[in-house]
Parts: sequence; structure tokens; C-alpha cells
Amino acid sequence: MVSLRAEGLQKSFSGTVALNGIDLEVKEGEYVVILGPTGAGKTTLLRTIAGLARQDAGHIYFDNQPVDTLMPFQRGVAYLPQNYSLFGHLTVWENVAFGPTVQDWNPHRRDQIVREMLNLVHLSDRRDAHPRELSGGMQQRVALARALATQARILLLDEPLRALDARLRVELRQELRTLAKYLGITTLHVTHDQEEAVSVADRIVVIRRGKVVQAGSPREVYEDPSSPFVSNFIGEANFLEGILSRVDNNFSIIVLKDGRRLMGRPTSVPADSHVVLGVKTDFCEVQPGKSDAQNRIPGTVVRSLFAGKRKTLEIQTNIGLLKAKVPSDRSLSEGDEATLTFEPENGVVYSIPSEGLRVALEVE
Amino acid sequence: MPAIRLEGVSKRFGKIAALQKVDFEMQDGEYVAILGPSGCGKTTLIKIIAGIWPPTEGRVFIDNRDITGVQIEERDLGYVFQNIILFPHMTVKKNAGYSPRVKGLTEEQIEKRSRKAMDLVGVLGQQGYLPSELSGGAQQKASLARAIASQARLLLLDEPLSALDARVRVELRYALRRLVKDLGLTAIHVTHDQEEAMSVADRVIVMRKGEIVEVGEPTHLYDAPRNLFTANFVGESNFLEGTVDSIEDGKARIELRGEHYLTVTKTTVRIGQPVVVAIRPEHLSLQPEDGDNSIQARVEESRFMGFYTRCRLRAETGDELLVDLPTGDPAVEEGTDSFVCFNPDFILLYPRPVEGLGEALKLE
Amino acid sequence: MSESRELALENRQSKSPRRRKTFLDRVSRTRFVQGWYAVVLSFFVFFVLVPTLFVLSFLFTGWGDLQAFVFRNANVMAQILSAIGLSFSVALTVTAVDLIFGLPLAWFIVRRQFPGKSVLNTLVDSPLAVPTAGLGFSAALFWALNPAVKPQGLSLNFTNTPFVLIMLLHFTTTFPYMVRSMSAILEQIDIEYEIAARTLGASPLTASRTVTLPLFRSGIATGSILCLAKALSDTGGVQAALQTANLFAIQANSCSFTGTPSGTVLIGAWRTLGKACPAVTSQLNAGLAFVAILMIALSIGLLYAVKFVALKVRFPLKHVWPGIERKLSRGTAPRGRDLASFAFLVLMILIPSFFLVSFLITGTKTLGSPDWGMFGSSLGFSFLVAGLATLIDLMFGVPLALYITRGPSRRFGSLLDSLVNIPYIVPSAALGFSLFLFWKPLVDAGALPILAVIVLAHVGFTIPFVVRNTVGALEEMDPGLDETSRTLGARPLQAFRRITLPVIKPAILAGSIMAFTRSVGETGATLAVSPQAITAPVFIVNLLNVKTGNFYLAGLSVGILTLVSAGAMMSMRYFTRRAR
Repeated sequence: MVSLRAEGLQKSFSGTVALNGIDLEVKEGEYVVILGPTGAGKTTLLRTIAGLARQDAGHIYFDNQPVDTLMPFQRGVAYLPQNYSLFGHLTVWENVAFGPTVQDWNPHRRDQIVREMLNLVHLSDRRDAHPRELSGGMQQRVALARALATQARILLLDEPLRALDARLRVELRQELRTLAKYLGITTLHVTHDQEEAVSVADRIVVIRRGKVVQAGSPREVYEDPSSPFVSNFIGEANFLEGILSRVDNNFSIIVLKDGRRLMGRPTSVPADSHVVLGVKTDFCEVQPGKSDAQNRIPGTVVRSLFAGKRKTLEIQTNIGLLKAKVPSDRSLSEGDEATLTFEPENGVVYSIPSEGLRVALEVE
Repeated sequence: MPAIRLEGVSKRFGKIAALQKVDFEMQDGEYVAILGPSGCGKTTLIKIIAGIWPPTEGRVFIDNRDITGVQIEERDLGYVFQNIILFPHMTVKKNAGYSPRVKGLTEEQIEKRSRKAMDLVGVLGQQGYLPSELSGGAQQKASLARAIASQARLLLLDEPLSALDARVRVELRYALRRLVKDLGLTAIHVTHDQEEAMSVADRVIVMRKGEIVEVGEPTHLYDAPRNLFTANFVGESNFLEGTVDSIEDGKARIELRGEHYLTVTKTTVRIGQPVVVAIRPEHLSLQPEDGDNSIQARVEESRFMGFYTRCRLRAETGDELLVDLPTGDPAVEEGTDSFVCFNPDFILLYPRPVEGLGEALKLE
Repeated sequence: MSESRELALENRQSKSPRRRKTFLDRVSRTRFVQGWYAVVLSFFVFFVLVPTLFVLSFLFTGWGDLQAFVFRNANVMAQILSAIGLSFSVALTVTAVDLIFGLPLAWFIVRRQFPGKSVLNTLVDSPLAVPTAGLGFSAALFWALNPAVKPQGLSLNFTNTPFVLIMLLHFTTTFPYMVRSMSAILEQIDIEYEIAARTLGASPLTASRTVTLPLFRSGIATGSILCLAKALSDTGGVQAALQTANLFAIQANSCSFTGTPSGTVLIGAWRTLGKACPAVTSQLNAGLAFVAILMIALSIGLLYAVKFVALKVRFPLKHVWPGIERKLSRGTAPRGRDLASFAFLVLMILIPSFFLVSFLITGTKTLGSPDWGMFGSSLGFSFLVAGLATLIDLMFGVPLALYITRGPSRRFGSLLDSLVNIPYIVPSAALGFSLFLFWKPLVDAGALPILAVIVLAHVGFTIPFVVRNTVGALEEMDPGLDETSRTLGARPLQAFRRITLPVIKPAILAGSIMAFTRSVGETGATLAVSPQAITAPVFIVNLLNVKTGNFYLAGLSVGILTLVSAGAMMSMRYFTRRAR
């Protein structure tokens, strides 16, 4: 088990800044997910840690030893690229045995490891097949087994589930975590899918435009988002602009453009600032007709999007189009008058982002 | 008068049967999703409707006109590709104006139509850009504008969101549904993502291995899937094998492994029939004590998932059970024993499949 | 912790001292790899590129001679300018016509599915198996007004003009290159673009014209460049055709020639005369240098001009005529167009290429007393040269390709890529003469055998085959494969041997077979380096002499050479198909 630390990583490619000062810490055996939109720098970060690319500035430490000058193999990392890069001319067995083979392991030990790895990923019966004969999910498992067979101390997964069907992803993501925990290997898993991140991570590091915007447990990142971007990227949120009229230890009061007063969590933003109140759609309730809740915004349901357990309701209000996720059996349909409500403790206050709210929320 | 009708459509590529005698119909103005795992034939189906591939057998009717042999360019439909396929040497504006131009309209008409389409979709501000300069979501929007500018009444969407980031997909889903309904188009949307299918479509067609497995409204497919595969593919379910022990007052008593019993309401089964019990994670709950319809189980894992907590338990029947609890509920400790309560109104019953449960539920 | 991890710890501990040593030798291996790249690069620059362009320095070093023997000699200037004019005008015309008829054929081959596609592909490629001397002989038999021997069977003997005859010949030497390169690039254009256009209401013709064609620039550029290069470069074919048609002959006794040669034939003729008539050698050398300089400079200029035009030409996308284009998309129009392409293929390429078979079978079998020994040794010599050249191509071409695709700098890589094409675009006779001049001091001193210079000349115009094919395969390969193997612990050489090599082997094989075949069929470079070196094509061209020759033996030799090349090409097809 190995710990990992990255300090001040910078990297640019022909004018574009990919990493803009990244600090990262991963404990021994931790399963950390690096989450962010495409282009945020996640793959670059992973490749730099793997040793496949050299950072322009900053340092990387494994167990407090600097590894900056070491080649990928010398670092002891197992790197799984997005498209798996399986060796098409070799069988499953030969693919998995590749690492131990080129490292001149004792053949007996090598075969033992390969057998164990294939068992772990449930592919022992396909050992003589070629990659092109296997389904997407199986190919991914071969790539995983191959990476793990080298007994690397750090596992780096670059969007391991991207190429798979949605339903398959839900099944296989648990297997990744289970495997990593069983082997006790420190893991960095990169993805753009926040649901995937929340379901497998010990800790999530949210990255945007080459910078870490927040790091914490799934619960922390979900319930205490440090910025509108994080609030909207993990789950979805409504944002209401206004002036922060009062703050104390128990709550804040925000006054909207139309004079409506809403209550939110206490905040350190100074009073009288221009702020935006973010409420996750998961925490928004919708009641038919009128409501006398503290935080209420009346409107009309304009669209209902069913998603299984719950449905998303789009509600047109006088301060814009708001969304709420409610249980599917709630009997609200298009055209109904309704009121959107939420608890004060679910409203998080942020100062208005300098680049404007729309740009701050952009996911591409 | 159905807008589209397929009669006995089959398609073979050499020895591989991609489609087997498919019949279906849809009405004018409907938004239908074709849902299924990779390789189920959904893309083949939509390509046959578009005229890109001819069917090996069967006929295709649009507005009661047999168009089976009609060329692609004479079918009057809009097609959106998974890989976007914007013309790389043309700007967004020229792409949008392509259809009116090749149909021989005047410059003024071309300008008007392309403008309107770009505006509706939200890419008017980027009309001068080349596709390579746009983000994935913007590219797909541009290709949507191009399809709409043709003013075809029928829109075919071939996995339009699969190539995009998870977060971008969610945004574009709303936009798609809104656009199709506002313009009154008839749309067929092919996808492997069941959440996407349910949120955009009026009706969903579930396909598997070249055949239609089930058709229905999203809520019906979710609440009462008639087919075991649908129960697993649409949303998540727990599955337990058992046998019908007795029937009384319209309620059936099912014997599970290890002599545990469950009572199920409203069924049509016979005594002694081997069955599969299915129930969704959100319809299970955890109780500290035994009760009606509960099975003892050991908590293996409890994970925070945002607005719910997912618990993984090993029941005394030997089955793995997934239970979703609202986040507010008291925390459950890993390694402790608990009782999983089955809500009798939500238990679904299916005859045990001859090919075995594993085979029947396989996702690829 | 799992048992395997315990095993691993044990494994690692027992390996620690060894690991430090492997770190050392990995470092030194990186230096070794860098050193090898430096060697390869130097070889290419100093043994191939510089010698190729060396003759350009004659403008300065031999200015006196040039003034005296060339610029002030009206006759010589006239001969030079007319030869060069002939070469370039024919090359440009042939390329234009090849484009017109080749594009529909390439389209047909790539986009249509039909049984017998491989037969069509083989037919298109077939002229490549015939040495160009043979193509010249055959084409002259078919087209020339008064060929030296009586043609057998239906032929269209109608022309006596060198321009027309050479143009007709060059259809057979260049058309396969045009069709092949266009097909290869067309295959890479996703057909979904055309489908998208059609779903938007465009007829197939409109879709191809407005969407696929603009994306096809590089196909048109590459095809044109290959055609031009081949047409400019060819010596054996032109000489064979002109001699068979009685439009050209070298008179060794009077130290002159009759008739109007092309630029490369002129080089070959003057080199031959130079050896036979020592008195005029320095005059001839000055003339030769000037021809070579002109051909090299003009062909390089042409290369960049074509690239520029291909990039800048604008396709008319604004105007669409739906009605007309729809009508032209189906029915008689496209069928007529395809028919025209096929007719061109059959009438202008296939029949003239193989017409000499009828002569072989039914013509007067005046073998006389053939010098089979001479033929055998010329064949052996050709194989020796081709074999050595191909070997050197492999030794240096594959690392060059690796350097181009995997080297530290992408810009340097693409610069190197275009430099590799220079010996290819330069007409091989001019290249040969330039090498002759460059190595002359060493050869005269006896330090370098002339064979080496011949081989080096052949390396010049064949190494691009190996480099280009290997670069193509490397670029198509998933870069993650090599990277992943390195993260798994493979050292660079191991990664190359186990992962990269198996993937690119078919391409390397294809490239080397193309290089070998090309070298075997070469006439001009061999003559330019040493007129006394008798390779098989030189042997054949010498036989096609109205006064002292043996046309039947020439034909037979062509046949044997063709069978050898065809065998090589078939095996190449087999290996590339097996890899798919």
C-alpha cells in the first residue's frame, strides 16, 4: 500500500494550459475519484502521475519519495487507458502475462499470478480468446487484470467505463472498487460521470480547467459544495440571484429581485453582497397549489421528465425556470399550478462569480 | 393513421441476424425511444427506416406509403448521428443551411431557415465557427439544427447523446424533448441509456438480440415490466429465485431458498411453479426486528449516494440484496444484521426462465 | 491482503538489487537508441539526400564548363530544352487525364460492393508487374505508326509524334499509382458524411461533390504527385518505346543520337556516348549536369506547387442544381461515366501493356543465338542490386519511420517526412548522375566499387516506399499500445519487438516488396551511374535496337521479369490480407 502526493503540478501543451497548479493527496489504499468535465485536465494529470508525460513544474511523491525522474515502469504504476489498448495479436492469457513476462519473473510465480488475476475478473474460461472476440465489458476486465498482474502499487484508471453501455457501467463500477479494495491497491479513478464518482469513491477531487476546485468525501462534496460549479456538477442545482440582507449563526436571508425573501444556510459572505443562492434539485419539493413554507416560489409545471424512481419537474416561475426532483408517484403534471419549496439548511449562499453565473456553470 | 409502420422487418448480415421479424407502429407526433444493449439491433432498425440499409425481409411504411425501396434523399426525414458527422469543412451556418440549399431554395429562404433552426437549438451565437472549434455538446446541437432546418416531419436520433459527457447529456435531454414537442415533430430516439429513454419518450420499445421484448410508456415499464429482462435493464432490481408454495385470497406465498417465505399480492401463478421474485431497491426497507415479509440479512456495505443511501446486504437465502434508503434515515452499520422488508404491493413475479436467470438477465 | 500480494512483496524484495542494475542499463539503452537514430539520420542525409542534390552545386563549380559547352552551344541548348519540355509537358498532360479517368474508377472500387472486386484490383495493379522497358516496347507495338517489328493482332498504330507516343506509354506506367493512392485515401473518408448529406436531401452526386470531394484534397494531391514523379522519372519505358517506334537511336560510332529523347533518356544517351567517345566526355558531362540540374529543380518546384494548389483550390459549394444532379445520380449518366473509366482502363492501359504477349506468341521467333548467359547474369545483377538496396532500405527506413512518427518533435518529423520524398520525386536518371558526380573521386581512386554507387542510387528512390508504408502503419496504430507496454515494464526494444513490430510487419513487408520490384524494373539510374552495368532492364533496352537488336529476345526477357515481379506482388497481397 502506497500513499501518493502531488504538489503544484503545471503542464501546458502548445499554448493551452492543461494543469494549472494541482495539489493532490491520496492515502494508502484509498480509492480516489478525479471528477471533472472533458478538457479539465484529468487525463493529463493521470498521465503525469503515471510518468507518461513530464510536468512543466511541480513534484510527485510516492510514499514521500520523489518519482519525477522515474519512468512509468520504475514508478510501479498500473495504467489503464480509456480504450484499454489490449494487444490484439495476443490471447487473453498472454495479455495478462505480458508484464511479468517482460520483467523476467520466475515462470511458476508468473503463471500463478496470471491465474489468480483471471479468476478475480471471472475470465478464466476465456484465457485462449483474442480481445476482438470479447464483449466490451470483458475487454475492460482483461485490461484490468493485465494492469494488476504486475503487482503495481498504484492503480490509475482513465475513464474505465466510458466505452460501455449505461446499464453495464452501473454493474461494473462496483466490481472495480471491490477488486481494488480486495487487493489493497491505492487507486486513482478518472471520470466525468458524477454518479459514478459518488458511488465508488472514498474521496472525490473535483477538477476544472486544470485546477482542483474541491476535494472531500462524496457526502462533503454533495452536501457542502464550495462553489456553484460543484453544486451544479454533482447532482443539479437551481440558482437564485439576490442581495444578502442578513447573516447570523443560524441562517442567512436573501432578497430576490422581486422582493421575495428566502432563507439559506449561514455563510461567511459579507452582508449586502450580491449573491446567488444554490439549492440542489434533489432537495427541492413541489406541492400542488399554494404553500406556506418559509422558502416558497410559486409557478406552473411546464414539463415532467420521468426517470424511474423520481421525476424532474420543470417549473416556470416569475424568476425563471426552476427544476425539482420529486418521487414519481407525485401526482403533478404539465399545466398544474404548484409551489417549489426547500428547507433553509439546503440553500447554500455564494458570492456572485466574477465571470457571471452562466460561464461559472459551464460544463464544457 | 400511423406515421410509421414496420411489418416483419428482418435484416441479416451474412449469417448474423441483426433483426428478426420486427413489427411496430407509431403515431404522428409521438416521441418513441428504442432502448437496448449494444448489438440488440436498434441502430440497424433506425438505419432501415432511414433507408441507409435495405431490409432483408419486410416492409416499411411512412404515412401509409410503402417506402421500402425509396432512396434516402427522398424520404424526407432528419437524421442525427452518434458521431455527430458535421461537415468539417463548413461552418455551423453552412451546415445548417445545407438541406435547404440542396433542395434548391433561394438564398433568402436558406438564410431564414438556417437562422431559425440555429436559434431554436441555441447555436446562433456560434454560427461562424467550424465544427472542430466547438465543444461536444455544441457540435451535437449544431447537427440537430442541421436536421431541423430540413423541415422534415420525422426526426431520427441515432444515440445522439452517447458520445457526450454525462453532465452534458442531462442538459441536452431536456433540450431535445422541448424542441421535439414544441415543433410537433415525430421522433425516434435510439439509446442504450434507460434513464435517457424514460425521460424523453412518450413510449419506449425495449429490444434485445434483434427482437422487440416489450413496449410501453416509461412509467409502465418501470412500475410493472412484463418481462424479466426489462425489469433488469430499465432501472435496477433485486432478483430471488423461488417456488410458489400456496395461494390464498388472491395472495401467493413464495418459498425462497433456505425456507424463507414472501407474500405477494395480485398474481397469476400456479402452485409449484418455479418463479423469480423481483423488487426494486427503493421498495425495500430495513427493520431492526423481524416482521411480515422480511428476510434476515447481513449488511455488507452502506454507501452515500446523494439523496439516498445504498445498502448491500447478503440475505439468508444466499442472495445479494440492494436496498435504497432515504439519506435522512438512521445510519446502518456494516457487519450488523438487519431485516429486509419487502413491500408486498411492489413485488413482481415472473416465471423462472428456461435458460437460467443469469442468461436471461445478461446485459451484453 | 491477498496471497498474490504477499507473493509480490517477496518477488520484489528478491529483485531489488537486480532492479538497480536494470535501471542503469535502461539509461544506457536510451543513449543507445538515441545513438542509433543519429546514425540513421546521418546516413540518410549524407548518403542519400546530399548526393541527390549534389549536382546542383555544379552551377558554381562547373560554371565555366557550362558556359563553354552548354550556354554558348545553340544545338546543345536546343536539345536540352526540347527534351525537358517533352518530359514535363507529357507528365502534366498524363496526370491531368489520369485524374479525370482515375477518380471515377477509384470511387467505384471503394464505394461499391460487388463480387470480383479483387479481380478488378489485380487488373488495375497488373501493369506494375511489367518492367517499364517492357511497357515501352508493348505500347510502341500497339500505338506507333511504324514499329521496328510487325505487331500481331489488332493494334491501333497511328502515331509518329514522340509527344503522343510517350504520353500513351505513360498512361500505363502511372495510372495504377493514381488509382491506388486515391482509393487508399478515399477509404479513409467516413462514408457517413455522404449519408448525412443524403438524409438532408442531397442526391448522391451532390453529396459527393459538396461533401466528399472537398475532404479529398490530399488524395488528389498525393495521386498527382505520384503520377508526375513516375512520368518524369521513367527512362527505360520511354527509350524502349522510342527505339521500337524508330524515333530514336544511339549512334555510338558517330558519338551522337538521332531522334527526340525525353530528359531522362537524354541523360542515359549522353552517359552512354560519354563512355564510348572519351573525346567529348567533359562536354557531355557539362550538358548532363545541366539537364540534371534543371530536372531536379523543376521537379521539386512542381512538387510544392501541386501541394499548394491542392490546398488552396476552392470547390464550388454554393451552387446546387437539384434537378439535374438528381438525374445525373442514377441511370445512364453514372453508368456512362463508369463505362468511360473502364474503357480507358482497358483500351489505354491493359491492352497496350500486355500487347506484346501476342507478339511473343505469334511473332517471328527470330531468337538467333541468344546470349542466355548474358541475360542470366543481367537478371542476377538486377536481383543483387535490388536485394542490397532493399536490405539497406529496411535497415535505415524502418528506424527513419519510427523517428518520424515517434521522434521528440512532430515538426521535425514532418520535415523529415517531406525530405524523404525528395529522392523519390527527383527523376531517377538525374539522381543517378548526381550520385555519380558525388562519388566520382572515390570511385576513380578505387576506394569505392561502382556497384555501391548503383545500390545507393537505387536506395534513394526506393527507401520512400518502406518509409511511407511504415509511417502509415505506425500512424494507424493505437499509440496507447506502445505506452501501455512500457507501463507494464517493457523496455523500449522489448516493446518494439513484442508489440509494435507484429503490428507493422505487414506494412514493412509490403513496402520492401514494392521497393524490390521498383528497383528490379529501373533503367535510368543504373545507366546514369554506369552505362556498363547491365541490369536486366538495361539488357532489354539494348536489345530493342533496330540495327543490332533482338526484339524477340527482349520480349521474352520482359516476360520472365514480369513473372518474377508478379510473384512478388502476389505474395505481398497475401501477407497484407493475412494481417487483416
